[in-house]
Amino acid sequence: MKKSDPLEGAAPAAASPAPISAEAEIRRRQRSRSLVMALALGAFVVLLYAITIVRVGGQ
Amino acid sequence: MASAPFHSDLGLPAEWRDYVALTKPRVMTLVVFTGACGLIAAPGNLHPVLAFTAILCIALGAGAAGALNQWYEADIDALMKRTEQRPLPGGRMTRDSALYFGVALSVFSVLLMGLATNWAAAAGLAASILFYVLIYTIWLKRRTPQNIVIGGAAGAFPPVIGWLAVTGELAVLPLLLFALVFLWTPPHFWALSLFVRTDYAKAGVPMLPVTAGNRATRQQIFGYSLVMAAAAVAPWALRETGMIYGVSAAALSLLFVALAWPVLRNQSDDPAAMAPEKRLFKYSILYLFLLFGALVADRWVMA
Repeated sequence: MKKSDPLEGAAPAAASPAPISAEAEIRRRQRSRSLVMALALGAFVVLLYAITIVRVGGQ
Repeated sequence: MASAPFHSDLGLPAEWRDYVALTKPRVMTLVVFTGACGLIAAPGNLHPVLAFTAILCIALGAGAAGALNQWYEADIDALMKRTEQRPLPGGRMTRDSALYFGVALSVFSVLLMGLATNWAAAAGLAASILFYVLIYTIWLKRRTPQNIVIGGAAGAFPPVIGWLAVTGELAVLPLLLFALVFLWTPPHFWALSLFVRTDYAKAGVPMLPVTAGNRATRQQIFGYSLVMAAAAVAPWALRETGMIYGVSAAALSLLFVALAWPVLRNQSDDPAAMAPEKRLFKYSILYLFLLFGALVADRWVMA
């Protein structure tokens, strides 16, 4: 789905001159993105819980 | 694209920091601040959790609008020094990524606002995003030198949305705050566009100094400053606020007009000789912060 990610779907690896360091860089970015996404999701769950408590409690 | 061969040519996934940059975090501070002030100035009590969520939604909505703006304007951003290092012109992210991110964040922020507070506030947030992206960015920015005047309306939404989150309905004061930010934007941004004029000319954006010249722009800045000053004291004159806001608004606006005067008198076309413009631009940001701060202080003392 993401065109920015060459590791998903058919990889245009043939055109890359330095595949090893590039792959390490891709993995590093994926890791940091996953971490940020996980933190955001966790925060969202906590927020939604708090909103639910407040809204249900206020009724 | 040529400026970042490593990133763009390998098609690496964008860094999460680039997604943050896409939301224009520096613009967001003023949006969050005015939104929070609108929320505090509104009568009634909103639970702190819901108030926090409302402000978060305003911030996310503004970020979504910023991302969609950069999605659409990648071509002109690449031509200007101020914007050429943004994630898209810098070649660190694909345009589609910015589009998906912007749309997803828009939908998310509007739905969360509706669920946490009320659907009037959610509608206001949706309207502000659509206005900024469709009316300002896509339709008018490249077509008319009045683009900044229209764009100012988008920036004027946050205090109204903050107010709606508490009350669920419009009133005189949030509309006056809307008018204030709306009238503040042209002198604020035109002052900037005077000393970065060459960039806009290069990108073909019909900024007022490019189309009408520096003299006409300076006259407009001064004229808008006068109307803005009137709008700033209006909430006090109409007895919507107390003395603290009234006196602050009068003093701050007087200084604004006093700083706009040397801009009007300046004849120079050389950015190096545009100290009055730079001074007015810097002060204009401080002005809005102090004015909304005074509004909140006024509410707290009166309550």
